[in-house]
Amino acid sequence: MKFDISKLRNIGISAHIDSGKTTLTERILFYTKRIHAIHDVKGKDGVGATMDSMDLEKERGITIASAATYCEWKGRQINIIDTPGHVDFTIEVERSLRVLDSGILVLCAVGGVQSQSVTVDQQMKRYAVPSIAFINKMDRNGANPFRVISQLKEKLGHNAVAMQLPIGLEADFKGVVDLIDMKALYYEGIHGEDILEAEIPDHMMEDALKFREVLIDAAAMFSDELTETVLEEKEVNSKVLIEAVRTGVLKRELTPVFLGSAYKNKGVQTLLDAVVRYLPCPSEVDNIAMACDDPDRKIVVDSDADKPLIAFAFKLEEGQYGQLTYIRVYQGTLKKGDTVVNVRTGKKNRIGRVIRMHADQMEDIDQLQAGYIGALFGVDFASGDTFGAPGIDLTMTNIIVPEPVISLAVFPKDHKSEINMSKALNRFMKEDPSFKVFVNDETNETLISGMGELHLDIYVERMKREYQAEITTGAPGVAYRETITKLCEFNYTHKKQTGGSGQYGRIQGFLEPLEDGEFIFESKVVGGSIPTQYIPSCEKGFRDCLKKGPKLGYPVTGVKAVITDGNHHSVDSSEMAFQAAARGAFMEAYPKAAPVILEPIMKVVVETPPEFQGSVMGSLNQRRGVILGAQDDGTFCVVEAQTPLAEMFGYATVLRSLTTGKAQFTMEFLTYKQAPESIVETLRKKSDKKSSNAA
Amino acid sequence: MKIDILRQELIHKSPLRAIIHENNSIPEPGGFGAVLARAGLGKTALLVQIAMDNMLQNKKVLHISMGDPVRKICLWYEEVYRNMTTAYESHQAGSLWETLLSKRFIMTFNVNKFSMPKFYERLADLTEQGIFYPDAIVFDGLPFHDDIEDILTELKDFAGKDKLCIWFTVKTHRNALETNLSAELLPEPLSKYSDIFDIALQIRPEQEKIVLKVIKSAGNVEPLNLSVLMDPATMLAKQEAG
Repeated sequence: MKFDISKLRNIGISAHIDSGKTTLTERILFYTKRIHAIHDVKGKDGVGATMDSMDLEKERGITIASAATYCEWKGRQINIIDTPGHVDFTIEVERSLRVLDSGILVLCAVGGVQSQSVTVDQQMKRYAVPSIAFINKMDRNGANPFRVISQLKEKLGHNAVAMQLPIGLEADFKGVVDLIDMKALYYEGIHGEDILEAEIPDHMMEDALKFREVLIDAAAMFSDELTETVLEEKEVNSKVLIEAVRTGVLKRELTPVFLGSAYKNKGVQTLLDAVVRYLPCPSEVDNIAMACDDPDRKIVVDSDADKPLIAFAFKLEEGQYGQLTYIRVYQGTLKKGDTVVNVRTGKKNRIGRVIRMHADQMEDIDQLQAGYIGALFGVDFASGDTFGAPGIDLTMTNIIVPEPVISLAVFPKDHKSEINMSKALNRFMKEDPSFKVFVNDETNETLISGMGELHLDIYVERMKREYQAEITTGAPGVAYRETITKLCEFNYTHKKQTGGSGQYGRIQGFLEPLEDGEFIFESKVVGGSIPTQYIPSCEKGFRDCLKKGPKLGYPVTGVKAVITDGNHHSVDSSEMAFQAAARGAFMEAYPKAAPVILEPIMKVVVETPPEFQGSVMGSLNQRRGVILGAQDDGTFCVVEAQTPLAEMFGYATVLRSLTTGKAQFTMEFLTYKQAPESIVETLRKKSDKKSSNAA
Repeated sequence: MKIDILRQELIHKSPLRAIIHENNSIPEPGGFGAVLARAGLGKTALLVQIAMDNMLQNKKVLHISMGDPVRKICLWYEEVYRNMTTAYESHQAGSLWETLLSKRFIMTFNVNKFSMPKFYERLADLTEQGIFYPDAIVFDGLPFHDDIEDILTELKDFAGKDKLCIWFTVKTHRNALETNLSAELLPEPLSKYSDIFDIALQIRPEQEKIVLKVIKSAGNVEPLNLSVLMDPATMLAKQEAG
């Protein structure tokens, strides 16, 4: 392995569903000679793309887990993380963004900036990932790169500037005009591997000069040298121009736009050149770590190979040889045989095998240097763990894990399936923090919960295929919550003095609504009316009540409990007694604090051809959706709405039949809102029925 | 109950009350209103404030915008509402916001894609299924510098028939400040449409402040003497201090 950090690029490829990122990655691997044949995502040869290693991904033509892969291009090393496009897998996208230095934002030349592109772009902003844009599918009917560029500016606020002009469009798309070197590039050969340089066609010269002006103007903002050249009306040097664009990209103030069609093998090599030219190497980006004892203290990690090791485990996978842990080294060098300490647990781990991943094949290496991405065998880390040389007390920023919004009961068919299912669930939980499993105490059902219908569907399928667990599923359930809406006081005495040692505790205080957050407990007891050692018991008593709300049995959130006074007995008071007193107090105050049911509201964005806009809006309206607006882009319309999750089950099928399959939608969790009375009534009936059945 | 009190407070205390009296529909149903300013002075912010005022009074507002995505317009509303309610309890403000949300519908068009047949078609999508019937329309970004006489005439007809008022934002040229203002002759590019607009408000810098002037008004309000200060931080009309 070579050790020149300036020659390394860690990039991610993110985009909307079906913009063709997996195809693009496939072509990149082909041109960098990592693979020797091209297999398309939904190709007829049945092999599937190399990056989509799971059977299921191949079958559905979507990418689920982000596989890390390594390739070399013109002496530079590139690590690529293929990220999933569906919103249900947002956690995967976020985790990969944490470890990347830069990204390629893939956009469809026809669809342009679609809803998922906006989400992905926001995520890239959150992690301050510099990016370049690639407009794919230039060969498709209705391709219009200039519309996409203006959308990049308007919708995403990018300072987007064209680096290339298309030669021909749609079926006539032949190649591109490079505005830096002012040359026409054609991609010849069966797989477009031969790049033919030629003069710019005469009819395009005028446009090419005009767009080059625009490019120089935009780049001049980042280079004094370039500005001077322009002011002195001298010929612009390509090298100076490239340097200026690069500075703009690193500052995240300029987004160069490249064109091509991965499927038709056009524009991919030039994109790779751009990756090497414009995107930063690991030492050019600031990686921020937090001090363990004080999360507010931010420390910039130095990508110096000689400093003490700091690395981050971002993904786990259970393979046939045991647990595989994907890691990125931020500082120092990780060597085979090193002993590292997991910062979270303090446990020591010896590094056994260090490997480099190429989709599902791997190669053994001896060491990983700062900036590099690789994987380890035989270490016990959870995803999100930071580890390093003994004595390191820094942690890389923790990744935000969203709360699951949908749950599904799963029933194993027989004992063998049950064992397999529990194996599978254990592994999924370790791999994916947004996937949770719990057992309903009353019904003894196993419930899995996650970020959306598709998210859970995929896991159910994987249990069946990979673990041979024969399971059936129940109806999906919505994660309702309970909360209170007004302040209510309590004054409760728990007293039991019938034989044996007695129990005594009195607590007084109030419950009040909490704006954000689940639960806060505060003690304002003074003068020892409740002895200090019993205060934590009071908190525990309250917390016990939150799991199952008194109104309809859903978890309680948004409550602040404050105790102001109380009483104790020198002999009969105990921790148990105060816990019971707190429970009693909660039950006393809660019904009077105007409890309500909250339901998850999803942000739904439907993209549809204009002729179906009416029926799409009607369908959302029927589902208790508040339609925020409709946006007309000429070729298609975007309808945005906020709709309760409970009404959205099976919407994919409904939408497909409404629009003859031409519309698509994305859905993500937005917030919890109070459920209307009619829904609460239905839920109440259901819960009554359940309890009468149980009795 | 408490939400209603908050609603009344917000209506009552709105700085717009100096120009548009409570319960008065200004402009009258079927009428046109205009917000004029040169670029960057806060036309859209004021338009959103006017829309919000209508929504608070239980009128349904259709917001039509040229070019901006729905998300951006939503942000405008959230921002304006947040600034309006900073002094109030956030729980209540949140509940009131929920009720307001259903009183607004945003429609966006590409600037060069707007046409009346298209507008009717889109509106029919909403009204025929009973999703939304607007009581007022706010129209942001109609290109007044182009020839839009036909569109305006047809909109006027439509407004008269459906008995709803329409507000427009109009971008004026920098020099329009110097022109002598009068109710009869509105500044460019509105001058040729003077007769179809019932009310016109202009945002302009005066000394070191930004003020909102009524340059044409319907009914009993004397134009030109009325002005409201604009807060340069929020780009919203604000109560005059002292």
